[in-house]
Amino acid sequence: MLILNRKSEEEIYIETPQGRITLKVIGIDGKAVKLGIDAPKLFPIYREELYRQVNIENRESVIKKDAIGELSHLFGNTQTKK
Amino acid sequence: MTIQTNVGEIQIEEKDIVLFKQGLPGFETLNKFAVIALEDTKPIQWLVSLEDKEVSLPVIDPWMVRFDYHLDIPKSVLDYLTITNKEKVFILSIVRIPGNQPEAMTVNLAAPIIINLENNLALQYIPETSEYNLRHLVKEELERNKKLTQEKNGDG
Repeated sequence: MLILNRKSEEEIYIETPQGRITLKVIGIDGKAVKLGIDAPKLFPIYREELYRQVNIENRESVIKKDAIGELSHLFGNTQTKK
Repeated sequence: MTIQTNVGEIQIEEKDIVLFKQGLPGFETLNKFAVIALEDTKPIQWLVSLEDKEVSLPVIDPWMVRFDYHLDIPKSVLDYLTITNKEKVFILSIVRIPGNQPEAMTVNLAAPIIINLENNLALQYIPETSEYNLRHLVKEELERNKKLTQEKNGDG
């Protein structure tokens, strides 16, 4: 991992084939660092823990082989109206 | 073409292929998927990988579990998927079925799949904040729908 020291208001440029990503240290408050990010619009940006939660959800959602037969009844009940 | 998946052998056509340029969280190396409807599991559909036969995810129309669901797609996502016609957008929520117990089924209303039907580009949109959660119990949502619909009709 590349490690760089930056002070408040200082920036880092990451050059990509799709354009520049600029990371700016907006401020530091105790242990919390406030970062500003300018990136081309084609770069989704996520907080790691949020992405990780979605990652876990998705992996838990994958259906196991031969499990499909057990799934029909929950919705089956709600669709037949009297 | 015919592909093998955990939900069976399915037939798809080239035009059905949906492209996730970044893959999905958890499946970053998988880009090509298709959405398959199976009669036996309606209204659950399946987001199946064309590149890994072990990866099939149950998905559902979020309005089916929460009739008043709403989603604001930010400009960055419209640009990312080059959406020009909002009528041609397909939204799906991923379902999770713990232990294959349908009663425990949850649905991810916070981070939906957005597909641009005009070019089949897709993304799982993870908003920085959402009024919804990654896990809504489907059973509770359906009860909520029923209750609110009855109140609306004045016969509840």
